[in-house]
Amino acid sequence: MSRKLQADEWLFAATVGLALFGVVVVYSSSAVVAQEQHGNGYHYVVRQAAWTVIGFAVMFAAMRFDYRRLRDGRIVYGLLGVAAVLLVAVFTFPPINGAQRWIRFGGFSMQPSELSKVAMVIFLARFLERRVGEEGALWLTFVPCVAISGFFAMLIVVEPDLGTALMLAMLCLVMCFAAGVRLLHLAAAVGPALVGVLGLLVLVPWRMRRLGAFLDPWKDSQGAGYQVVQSLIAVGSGGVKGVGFAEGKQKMFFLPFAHSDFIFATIGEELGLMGALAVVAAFGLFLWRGVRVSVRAPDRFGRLLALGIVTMIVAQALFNISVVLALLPTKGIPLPFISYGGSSLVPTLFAAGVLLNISQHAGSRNLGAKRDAKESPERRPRRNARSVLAPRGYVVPLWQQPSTLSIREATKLNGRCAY
Amino acid sequence: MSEYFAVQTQANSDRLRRRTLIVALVLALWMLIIGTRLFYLQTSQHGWLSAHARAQHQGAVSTNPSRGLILDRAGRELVRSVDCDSFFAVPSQIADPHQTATRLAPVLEADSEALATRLAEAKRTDRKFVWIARKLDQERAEKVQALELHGIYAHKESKRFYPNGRLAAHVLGFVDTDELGLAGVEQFHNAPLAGKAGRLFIEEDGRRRSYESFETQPRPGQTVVLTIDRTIQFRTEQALATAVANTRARTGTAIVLDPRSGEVLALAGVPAFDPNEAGNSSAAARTNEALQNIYEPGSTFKIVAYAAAIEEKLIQPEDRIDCQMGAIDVAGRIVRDHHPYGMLSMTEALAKSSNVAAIKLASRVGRERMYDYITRFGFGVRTGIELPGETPGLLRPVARWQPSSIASIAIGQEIGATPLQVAAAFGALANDGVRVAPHLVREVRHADGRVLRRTTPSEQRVTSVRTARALRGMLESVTVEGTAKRAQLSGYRAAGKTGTAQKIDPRTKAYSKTKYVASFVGFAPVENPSVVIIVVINEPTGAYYGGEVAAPVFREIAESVLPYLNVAPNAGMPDAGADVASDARTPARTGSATAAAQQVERANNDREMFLPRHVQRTMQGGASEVVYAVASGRTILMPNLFGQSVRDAARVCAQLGLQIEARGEGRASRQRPAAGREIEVGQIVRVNFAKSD
Repeated sequence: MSRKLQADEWLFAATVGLALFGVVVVYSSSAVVAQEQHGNGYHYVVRQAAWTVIGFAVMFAAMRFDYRRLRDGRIVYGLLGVAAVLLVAVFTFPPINGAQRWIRFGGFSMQPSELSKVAMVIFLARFLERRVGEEGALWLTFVPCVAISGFFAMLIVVEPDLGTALMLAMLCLVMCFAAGVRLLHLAAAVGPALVGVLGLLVLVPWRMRRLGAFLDPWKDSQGAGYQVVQSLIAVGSGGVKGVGFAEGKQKMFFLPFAHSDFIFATIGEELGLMGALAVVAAFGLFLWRGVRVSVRAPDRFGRLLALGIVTMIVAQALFNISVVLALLPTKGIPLPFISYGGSSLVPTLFAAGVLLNISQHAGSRNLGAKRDAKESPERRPRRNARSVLAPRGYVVPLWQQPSTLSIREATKLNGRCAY
Repeated sequence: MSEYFAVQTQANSDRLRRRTLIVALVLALWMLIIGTRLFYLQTSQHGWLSAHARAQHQGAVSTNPSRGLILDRAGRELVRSVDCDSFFAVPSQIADPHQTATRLAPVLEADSEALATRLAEAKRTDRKFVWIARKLDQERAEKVQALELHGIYAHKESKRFYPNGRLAAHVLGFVDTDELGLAGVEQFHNAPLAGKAGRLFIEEDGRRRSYESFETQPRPGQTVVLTIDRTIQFRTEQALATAVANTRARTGTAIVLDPRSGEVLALAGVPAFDPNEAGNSSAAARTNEALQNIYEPGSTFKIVAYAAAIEEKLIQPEDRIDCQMGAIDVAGRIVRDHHPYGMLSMTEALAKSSNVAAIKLASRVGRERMYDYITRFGFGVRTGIELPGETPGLLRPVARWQPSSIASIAIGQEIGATPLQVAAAFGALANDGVRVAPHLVREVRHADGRVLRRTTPSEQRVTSVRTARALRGMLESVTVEGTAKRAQLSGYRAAGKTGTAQKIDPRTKAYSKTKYVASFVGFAPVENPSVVIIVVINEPTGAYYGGEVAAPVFREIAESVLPYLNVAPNAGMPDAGADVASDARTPARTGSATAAAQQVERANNDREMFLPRHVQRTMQGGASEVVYAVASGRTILMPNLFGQSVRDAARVCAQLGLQIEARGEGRASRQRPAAGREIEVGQIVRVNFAKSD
């Protein structure tokens, strides 16, 4: 308690580095389009810079805000409620490119779906922490998680923004999995979903065509495969060293969304294999340090929250890059930290701030079990009792049951450090 | 109990840790896949993907330089290039090919359906560029512009324009839509005329707007200055066309040659074509018979035997020769003159075109020496004139002569020559025995006027000065008292020789009695000839003697050209050439002379009885002509391709309608069938080429 709270430097560096790098790449990839659309080549980069400043402010605020106070039900449900309201409010705004994803006020616009992901992570971390020992309970734990995530995902699907909805569903599954939900339950949730997706693919012809475009984009390089083909051309023409910063040609109206969803293609073209791998490595660093924070977090809420944030950011980045590299079918989701747009950047930086705050507490014993116990002393016995008695409760499988020796050792260890 | 809870919590904690690490591992694996994919795309796939990128970023447009001018010897324009509009479509920018086609078709006078199909197809196959109409005239171009169709663009192109229409069409040739010379000087000098195209590299964005460009400068086409004189060409063509029309002949050829320089002043062929609309002309009209087809020169060829005999000092012009009352036995066959002559002077024998005398002279000269003189006069090899498709003619080597061949060749049979070869041979006599290779191009100039190349024709002594002058005197007697009195000029002394060759009738397989090639080749003034003129009329109807059909054309051309060239008239010549002319034109007044001349000629042509065996055999195939072999024959003689380049051989074969099967590179070293063999048109000819060092 007395020691100085120190955030993880590597995590901080990765976060700030990626965000600043994003501003630069947004400039390179948006200048031509900005000139064309707004008569000002700096249109997007100025906004991105402003959003980055706001995002950093939010991040630093989150770093100073003790993450455990996020457990407060008012905050959690308040955030969820705001997200839900905004997600509904989206439909009062006219569609852009056929999608109603944006809420506009003044000169700015935001996508509430991005906010809802952060809200969902916090909610799930809190909910699953409160269900500790009852993770195996289908109706008590898993179904509520799926129901709430599903509700938000559905709201997002009808925007339509299938990519973000999928990310939300994936977040829910990953956090439930980590918390200890039975694999059978997870499989039961994922299985029908997969069947449904396959059914949609087979029954809806244009989806099938899009899948065909994914499998062989060159077959219809001017139609369904256009975006993927242009993306591959951009990345491929970059080679090892890249064509040089700001020298890329694909952003000249060949590659759609060069400064947003396909910004990684611009990176691959201009900075080559070196630059692209560096970005992937930066996310790798974020993953490593983030998971380290999660594992070392003093309490279950912190661990789940950290994992959720890391997954939210890294999985989305990998999903986005996979789309750019034609490893996955095209789904429009931004590349965290880097893609243009405040509604993605600010919540992401906020989440990163929360993660950094957790990292400050990582490895500290004092802030572990004791405060845990103090903040929810009355709930624990009930939960634990039920987990023992309830037939649907989680039963520790034989192979997972710790031996007496290991219990002792674990207890000893527990006395020394947080985990 | 509390310990149990602790254990329980600990178990949960362990599971969370384990599962967190599993999630992290999955994400790390995903990263690994991405890294591998990046490596694959940016190294092994880099080449073709960046080629693809270049292809869509960079458009290269050829900027064709203006094609060079072709001028006549006085610098007058024979060909120039004019700017005009072509239209192309960018298929991706055309929303509705059908509508676009419907609007375009009436202006272009094109089929709207076909155009729509073409556009739709181009759009479907993702082509970037489709020509809609090339080189439209200004009126229609403006109409297309006025339509303001989306996705249709104009492109300035230069178009070849032949301001004189048909004038010198066979010399100039023509070009295709892409300005590639396909005939004549346009083809032969295509490279210098075309210049070198520049390349304009345009960086384009995804909306096909260029934002940057750089180009390599084109090299402008060079100017080709011909030896042709536009005025002489015009007058020659007029005279020839009139004669061909009057005699209702199939074709006609006339060449005006300066024997001292070898320069071709005019080269005319009838029928001609308009190079501005070459596509609408027939292949026959485009054939340049002056050098692409061969004919039997007939009596005009007799100069070779006479020149050889005089040069070898076997005879003197004053010597007398026994014409054996018009019959001679050659290798068991009788060759006859129509009109029986007894003892004649050499000059008289030539003037009256006695076959017997020519045969006797050739026999005295001998086969090898005859062959030598024939080649020295330039027969059997190309003249090397700067026009494509020239044939070397047909001249069999001595080893393959029949016993009677020496007789046939002496009187211009069993040999195929081009009018240009005959003109050049007479040019040698006119130029005191030195044959200057005929040529058409005076010089090639840079676009800025600098002279880059000047033609220096090769010269070869064929006979001594003495022989040439002696023969010139003898040939003058042909126009004075021989078969070509109609070739007499007013104000100038002219010399020349008539020829009336029968064509082989493919139906009867014998020399035709109705189809002739009438020719006259002569020069003037006799003592210092300025021009050699050959006139060949193919298949005249009605009168068919060279002296009757071709000689007047010579006269018309010469009388127009000589004063034009400021050639001093001969002193003491009757200026009233009308006397002689009317003489010739009204047989009633000098009936006996003309009739005698005609009889001589006719005699020369009654030759069915001694057709050379090989010709008869040739004709077994049904249709063979040595004369104008290509024009209508089905069977022809295999040309000698030895030593020719692949291109030349292919050109000759194409000319003759043969299919060439070429092997190897370099010069032709072997051919099957052998040269001189009778072959069918369309037959496959195998030619081996080898590089010789």
